[in-house]
Amino acid sequence: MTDFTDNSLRLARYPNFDNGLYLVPMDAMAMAQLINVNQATGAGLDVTQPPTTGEAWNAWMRTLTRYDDQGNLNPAGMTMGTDFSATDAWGIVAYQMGFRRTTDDLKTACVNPEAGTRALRWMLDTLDTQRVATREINANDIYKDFTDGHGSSLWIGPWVLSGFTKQLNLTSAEIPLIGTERHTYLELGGLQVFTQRDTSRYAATMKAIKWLSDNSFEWTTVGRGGAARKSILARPDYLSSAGTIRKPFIDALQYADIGPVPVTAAADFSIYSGSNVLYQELSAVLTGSKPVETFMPDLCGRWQTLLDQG
Amino acid sequence: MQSLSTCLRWARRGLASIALSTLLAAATLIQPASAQNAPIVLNHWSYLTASDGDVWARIIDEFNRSNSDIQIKMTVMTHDEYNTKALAGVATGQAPDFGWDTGGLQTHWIKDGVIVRLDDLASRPVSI
Repeated sequence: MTDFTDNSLRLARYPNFDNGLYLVPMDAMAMAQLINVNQATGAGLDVTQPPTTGEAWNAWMRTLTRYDDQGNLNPAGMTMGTDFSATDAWGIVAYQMGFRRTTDDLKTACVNPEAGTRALRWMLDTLDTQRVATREINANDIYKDFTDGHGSSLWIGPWVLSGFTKQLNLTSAEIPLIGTERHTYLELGGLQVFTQRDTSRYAATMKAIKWLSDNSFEWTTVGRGGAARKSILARPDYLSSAGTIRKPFIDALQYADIGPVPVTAAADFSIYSGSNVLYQELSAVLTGSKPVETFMPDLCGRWQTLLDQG
Repeated sequence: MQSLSTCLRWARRGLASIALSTLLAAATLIQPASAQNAPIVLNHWSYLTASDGDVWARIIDEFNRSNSDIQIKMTVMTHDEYNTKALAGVATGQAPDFGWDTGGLQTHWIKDGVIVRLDDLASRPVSI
């Protein structure tokens, strides 16, 4: 296991279960931004110089956004909606501003909740003042909305790349620094072994998984996320095989740390969800059914209850 | 919480329900071999149903071409089906040998003994 990156092994182990290893890492996925090249160049933007700061990003989004006769955004600069693309936008910006979902010991929910509120206000400013993103998704499917051209940029992970690049002329860039620290969403994909009555099958299973891991070059260059094996990352042809579209996603792995919170209710702490506690609280504010001031107290209260349950 | 995990993955991949399908043709599994040295057939379940699934299927095919002693039979299903069928499979002794998952989200399955701790297995010399 010494060839696996430390970050991938950290996510494959469970501190609450004697730090046991329950997954063989196959690929690591960080979020970056995709930009529709045709729409960006059509708006007069230089796609070789994507925005890297919050100020530059705002200017880009304003340039990308078009309004129809009724004042509707089409395309919107950023494809956001109110579900999983909104939760990841909030989570990433909140972390950039200093927010953390839990303390390191997993005992207390919400470190620096004021930063979480600032991130929410940034979202509302993007939606309502800057008007460069919309709550409504035309196709009721944010991926389809983006591939249909109703949004010019999307913050997303590399799992869409092999499909989207067949449909759109895209470029990619790391997510701009809107706060003060670089952070982005992190997800580890891997293979797990199911409990068998015939335990003699485990040896063959591990042999197969070892082969799949040893031969994961294609998987981590054109399949999905970045390599979890140091030997693959060190190959001189790794980045060139992955292509320029994947480079920001691979570079972002250096600081991607908004991964799963390793507790029973891990899914409710994900910043990438269209159904969990974060989604419920965030969408309530974004759709106007709850005031901004209740967001962090309500979210942190529910997260604390989940932490207290173990 | 697994349903939440499922939902986020469903949302991510934005796919309609996909029927359970076996991707590996039986012809690739049936090699001219005696019963004594027939390959071990491992059951692998995958929920990779988007374009990433095409690449993964190619890799599984390559494994089967490169390994005569082990063959992988891959079954692709939605994440909902994966979670439901895997739990039932372990309970009835019909679980797949291995499958995909996301790091940090397996706490329920660890608690319930659905998946195996790998520290020892991964450190053993691989031989069958």
